[in-house]
Amino acid sequence: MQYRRWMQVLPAATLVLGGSAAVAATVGEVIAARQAQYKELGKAFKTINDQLKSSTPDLAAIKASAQIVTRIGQQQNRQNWFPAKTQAGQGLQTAANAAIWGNADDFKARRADFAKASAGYAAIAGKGDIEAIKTATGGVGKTCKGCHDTYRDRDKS
Amino acid sequence: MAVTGDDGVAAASTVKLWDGAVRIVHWLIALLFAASWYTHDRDLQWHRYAGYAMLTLVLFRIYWGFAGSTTARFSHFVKGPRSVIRYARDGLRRGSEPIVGHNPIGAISVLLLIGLLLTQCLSGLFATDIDGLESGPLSSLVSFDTSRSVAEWHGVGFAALQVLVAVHLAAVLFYLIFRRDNLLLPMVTGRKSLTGGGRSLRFGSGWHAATAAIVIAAIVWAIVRGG
Repeated sequence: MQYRRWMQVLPAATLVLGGSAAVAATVGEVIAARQAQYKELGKAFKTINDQLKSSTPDLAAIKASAQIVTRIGQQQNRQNWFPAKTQAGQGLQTAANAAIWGNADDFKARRADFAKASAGYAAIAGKGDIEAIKTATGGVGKTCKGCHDTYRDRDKS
Repeated sequence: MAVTGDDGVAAASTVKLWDGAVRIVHWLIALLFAASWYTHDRDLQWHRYAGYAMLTLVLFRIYWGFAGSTTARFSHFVKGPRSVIRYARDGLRRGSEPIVGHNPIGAISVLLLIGLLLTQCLSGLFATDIDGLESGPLSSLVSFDTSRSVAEWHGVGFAALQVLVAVHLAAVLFYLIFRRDNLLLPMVTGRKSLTGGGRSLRFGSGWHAATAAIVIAAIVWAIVRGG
């Protein structure tokens, strides 16, 4: 894995380039890891919304994706995916807005909102009532948007 | 809406140039372009509706470009490179005789606008936002990654359209100020004062246009519902 390889070359890199290069590599890894999670989340939501639009929705696909939403919803609250110095600018490929660290308390509350909204989502999907899933999906989606409008720079991944 | 073959002369040397269908479609496209722009980051449901309406208009305009009035037909105004160069050299001069209908350079603009608008509508059908929450009606036919690439092209297409629209507006201003040729008014009234030409123009019927528009709207609706 990418991360392991970095850990192997890290001591040498530290010697040659000094501490700052080692920190930059770690920051890149943090960003790549959280982006992979959010992308999985986007993929899961697309699957669910595609099925909800269909006249013959695939319930198994919805359930599997809903489990991903619930899992990531809890993880992003329990873990800190946004440590210091992983914001946009500084040449980093991230849309994470500096307001994340500027309004740290509000950002934390938003993460908790998403965790709360998504906690029972997999269970609702598991019951297979399409109308209930639609309502629940809208509720979870709202917490995504609520945060993204403020804390994600537009048109960047 | 008098779209039928009235080639007549209301005042001296004023002739009918654009039929009702061309004018209505033109202004609705302008309106929907603004509406799509406004809604793209506010209300995706209305953005989709605007897109469906835009797709209907663009498809109708393409149909009308083959089956409609003389000045609406591609065969009437799309010219080869030699005519374009000749027009760029001689036709843009102040005092040169205005061309009846689209001029050879305007024709390129018409084709680019229609082509880009069509591409834009089609890419919108397959696009998904970054969160997988909002998507075009046919996005379920493609993967998340493909759908995201399409969405990025949708953004590039919009930037290209913005440039084209700016060029279009600049050209209208250029004609108004430099050539003292008001292109805006005929696109509203349909009539233009011409010293020669325009007598032989034929116009499609309003019924023909309305029927075609309804059929195309039904096809578009079937497509977006099929997703």
